[in-house]
Amino acid sequence: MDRSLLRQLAALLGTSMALGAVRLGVSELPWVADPPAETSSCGDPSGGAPRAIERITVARAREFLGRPGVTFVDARPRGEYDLSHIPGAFSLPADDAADLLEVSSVPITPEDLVITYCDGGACERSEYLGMLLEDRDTCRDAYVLDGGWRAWLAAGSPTTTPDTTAGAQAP
Amino acid sequence: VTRLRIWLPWLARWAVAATFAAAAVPKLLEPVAFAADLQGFRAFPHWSINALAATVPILELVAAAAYLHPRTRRAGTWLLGALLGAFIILLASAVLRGIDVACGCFGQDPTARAAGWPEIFRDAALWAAVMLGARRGTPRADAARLPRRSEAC
Repeated sequence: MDRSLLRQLAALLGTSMALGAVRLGVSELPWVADPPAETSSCGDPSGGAPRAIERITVARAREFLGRPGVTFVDARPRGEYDLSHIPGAFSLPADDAADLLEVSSVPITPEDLVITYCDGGACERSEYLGMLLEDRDTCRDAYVLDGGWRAWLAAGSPTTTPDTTAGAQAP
Repeated sequence: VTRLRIWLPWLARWAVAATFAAAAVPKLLEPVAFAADLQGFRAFPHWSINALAATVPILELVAAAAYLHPRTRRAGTWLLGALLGAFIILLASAVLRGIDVACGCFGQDPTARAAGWPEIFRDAALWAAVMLGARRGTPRADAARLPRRSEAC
């Protein structure tokens, strides 16, 4: 590798990093989630390190729709859930989830697979809800729907409103 | 065959550059979604995710532009090759660890299935195209070296 190539590589990398730094400063990106060590106190059954909430794609989540033992949980505010939601999902707004889980019997068994979703973007609310559910009393499998409600809608996936569904439940 | 040897690298260069531009623009427009995709791979320290989400799409554009220009083509080839190598390693590690995460290679695609071997093979093919396009010569420059039709006949 000759010097001119190294100079060019340094210039290109430097330019990219400088522009990236400017982009980072201008857009003020929100942090996508808490550091893994703080995201969940739910440990690996094998005694390993704490694990973060896994993500699941819309296409994969659709395969689970309507299956017994799989529960969709809507982390958005109740008003948004009332407008429309994933069929069979029940509302557990992330802002109130800690209290609701304390006082109510959420119809999820420890064996259930739970898929949480929020409005979209970085989905911190559904990650938080997934953590709460995993930590509640047992380490059930909780997943965060990648892209959230907006991705679900964009994929043309089925939706429903409380008026048209019998399966939707609320705490 | 001679014309193909001249035009193929040129076509490969533009196809590669267009592919990288198409991959970079959605990530530049939706940095938070790209950051979430990166986080989904569970391969990066938390502090680095935003920096990567902001820098990688710009690096893709800069490398693609450098790859098109004859004076900076070698550096562009190195950068694109390194980027694709990193993507392949990242995807392969996700597949081997059984992580269900969308590729996010061309921005957020709600209908995308979990990243798998097809994406790895696609990146490997793109890497081969990068190497093909790195071959010297442009149609205009190399056409001058071709024997004229009257001479050839």
